[in-house]
Amino acid sequence: MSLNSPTASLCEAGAPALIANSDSLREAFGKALSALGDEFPKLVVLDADIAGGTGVHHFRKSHPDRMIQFGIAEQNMMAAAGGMAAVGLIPVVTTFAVFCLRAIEQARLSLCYARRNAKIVASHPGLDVGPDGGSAQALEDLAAFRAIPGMTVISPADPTEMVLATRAMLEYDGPVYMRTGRSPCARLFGEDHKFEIGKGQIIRDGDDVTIVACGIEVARALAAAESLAEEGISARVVNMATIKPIDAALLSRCAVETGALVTAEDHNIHGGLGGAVAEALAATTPCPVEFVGVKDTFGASGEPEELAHHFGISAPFIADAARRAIRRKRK
Amino acid sequence: MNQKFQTVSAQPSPAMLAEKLAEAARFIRCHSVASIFHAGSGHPGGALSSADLFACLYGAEMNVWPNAIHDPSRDRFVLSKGHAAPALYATGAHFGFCDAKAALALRKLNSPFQGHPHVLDLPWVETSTGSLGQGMSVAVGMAIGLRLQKIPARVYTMLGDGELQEGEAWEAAMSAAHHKLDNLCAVIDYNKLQSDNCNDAIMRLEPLADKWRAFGWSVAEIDGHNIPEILDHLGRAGATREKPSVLIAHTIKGKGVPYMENIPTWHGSVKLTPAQTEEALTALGASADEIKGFMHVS
Ligand SMILES: Cc1ncc(C[n+]2csc(CCOP(=O)(O)OP(=O)(O)O)c2C)c(N)n1
Ligand SMILES: [Mg+2]
Repeated sequence: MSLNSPTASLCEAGAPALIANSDSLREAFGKALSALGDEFPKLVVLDADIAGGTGVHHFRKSHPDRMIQFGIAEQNMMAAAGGMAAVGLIPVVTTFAVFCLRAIEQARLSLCYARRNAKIVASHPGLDVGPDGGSAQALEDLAAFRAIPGMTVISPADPTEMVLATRAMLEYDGPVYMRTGRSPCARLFGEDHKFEIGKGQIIRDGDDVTIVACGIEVARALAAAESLAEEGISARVVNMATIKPIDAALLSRCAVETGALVTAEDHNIHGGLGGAVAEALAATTPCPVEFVGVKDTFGASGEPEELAHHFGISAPFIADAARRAIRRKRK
Repeated sequence: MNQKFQTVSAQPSPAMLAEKLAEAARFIRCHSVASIFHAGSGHPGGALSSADLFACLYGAEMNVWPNAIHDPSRDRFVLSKGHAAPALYATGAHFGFCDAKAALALRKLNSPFQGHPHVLDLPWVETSTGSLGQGMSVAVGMAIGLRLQKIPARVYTMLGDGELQEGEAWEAAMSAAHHKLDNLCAVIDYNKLQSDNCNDAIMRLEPLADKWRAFGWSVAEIDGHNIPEILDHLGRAGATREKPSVLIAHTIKGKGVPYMENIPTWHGSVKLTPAQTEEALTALGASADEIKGFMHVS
C-alpha cells in the first residue's frame, strides 16, 4: 500500500529556495571541490543525504559520477571511505561535524590506524550551527579528532582560505579532518593569501599579547585586536588554521615576543585549539594563556551571533581575555 | 487508552474521539507551521506528515498526563526523528504539557523549545534526540528497563523513513525482537522523502515490511492520516505478546499544505515568508482570528 509515491520530477517542481549562505565556508568548500574535480580524477565525494547542507551539491552537479550516496548512515560511509582509499581513490567524507563524531571509531580504525589517504570534511561545527540547537552543535570535534594518531586537523578562517585548504588537503597524502562552517562569514584574506598545512600566520602584528584563533573566531579575534588598539593595547593575531600538527615554532616565538597568549575557538575550551596551544607552550615556552571557547557546556538554539555573545566567544570576550592575560604577565 | 483521561470524562464514542483527534491534528499542523515561521528555520515537511500520528498517540493511545509527568507508570514517547520537534511541541501545547504561546518561541535563545527536543529543557520530553537512529535505541532501553522493574508502561517511538537507513535502527530492531519487547511500539512516518530527495533516490528501503518481519517484529502497514485506522492498530500493537510491534504509517510529507506536499525541499532549512505562512494556515483550515493569533505574538 502506498498513499503516494513522489517521483523525481515531482520533487523538482515547486521547490522553495534553501536558506542560502553564499559566503559561508561550506559553500566555498563545495565550489572549490567542484573546481578541483577534473584536476584530481581519483577524488570521490561521499554524502549521507545532506549534500545541500555540506556544500557538495556543487560537486554533484559538476561530477555526478563521482558523488556516492550512502543515505543517512554515517558509520558505513566513514569506513567505506577507508575501502575506497585502499583501492586507490581519494575519498572525501562529508557530513555535519556532530555526525562525524558518530563515526569517529570508524575514522580511527579504517582511516587513521590503516593510514588511508581519506578526508573528512565537517560542516556545521560549533555554536555557528545556530537554531538547530545544542544537540547539533559539535563543540568536541577538534578535541576528539586531534586525539587520533596520524590525523591532521584543519579549520580555515574565511572563504578564500577554504579554497586553498581544500586543495592542500587533496595534495596531502594522509587522513585529514577539516571543519567548514554554516553561517555567512567575513572575507578576511585577499587573492595573495597562502595556506600551508601545519603553518600558522601572523595576520595582524602587535607586541603586548597574541591572540591565536581558528575558523570563524579569527574574524572575532581581529575585531578584538581593533578594540584593544583603541585603548592602547597592541595585540598580535595569529590565524592557526591547522590545529594538528600545531605550529609550535610560531607559538614559541609569539610567547617570547609578546609574553602572553589568548586562544579563541568555537569549541569547548577543553582539548581543542586551546589545548593544543597550551601543550605546545608548556613544552617549550611557558607563559600566561587565557582560553576563549565554550566553557565545558552544551550549546543551545539561537542565532550564531547571539550565541557567541551568550556563551562568551564574541569579540568583547576575546578582548577581556587579552586584558587578563596581560595582567598575569605583569604580575 | 488514556485511562486518567477517562476517569475525568466519560469515554467518548469512536466518532467523537476521531473528531477530537482530527481537531488536535489540525492544531498541531497550524502550530508547527506558525512556530517554524517565527523561528525563521526548521523542518515543516516531517512535522506535517506526522501530525495525525501525534494526535492519536497523545490524545488517545498513551497513558500520559500533564499533571503527572514524573509518574513512573506513565507511557514513554521517544521522538527518534527529533527534527519533528515542532509537531511534538504543538502536541504538548494542545494536550496541556506546555503553553501554546510559549511554544511559538521555537529555536530562540533562552527558549526551552530548541530545534531538537531536549529532556533538560522540557521535563515532559522523555529524552534528547536529533541524531537519527539513536532514539530508537533509547526506546529499547526504556522498554527493557520498565519490564525489568515490572512497570506495566508501554514505550512508543516515532522514526522517519530516511532514519531507517541508519544501521543503529536495525541494531535496535534486532535487540527489541531478541528481548521480546512487546511493550515497545515503533511508528514509522513513511512519507517517502528525506532531506535531499525521495528515499528511492537516496537509499532504497523496500521491501520495508518484509525487513521488519524478518527482524522478528509484528508489522502493520496503515494509512497514517486515517485516525480510526491508526487507533485500531495502536490498540492491536498493545495486545500483541512476545514481539515488538511496528506501524508502517504511509503518509504525505507536508500533508495539508498543498504547496509543500511531496516536495523534498520543504523538509528543512527553509524560511517561511508571512505570505507562505498565511497560505499554509488558510489551507489547514485556520480562521482569520486564529491566523492572527498564530502569526502575531507580542
Ligand atoms: C545521524 C543523523 N544524520 C543526519 C541528520 C540530518 N538530517 C536531519 S533530518 C534528515 C532527513 C530525515 O529524513 P526522514 O527520516 O525521512 O524524516 P522525515 O521525512 O520524517 O522528516 C537528515 C539527513 C541527522 N539529524 N542525524
Ligand atoms: Mg521521510
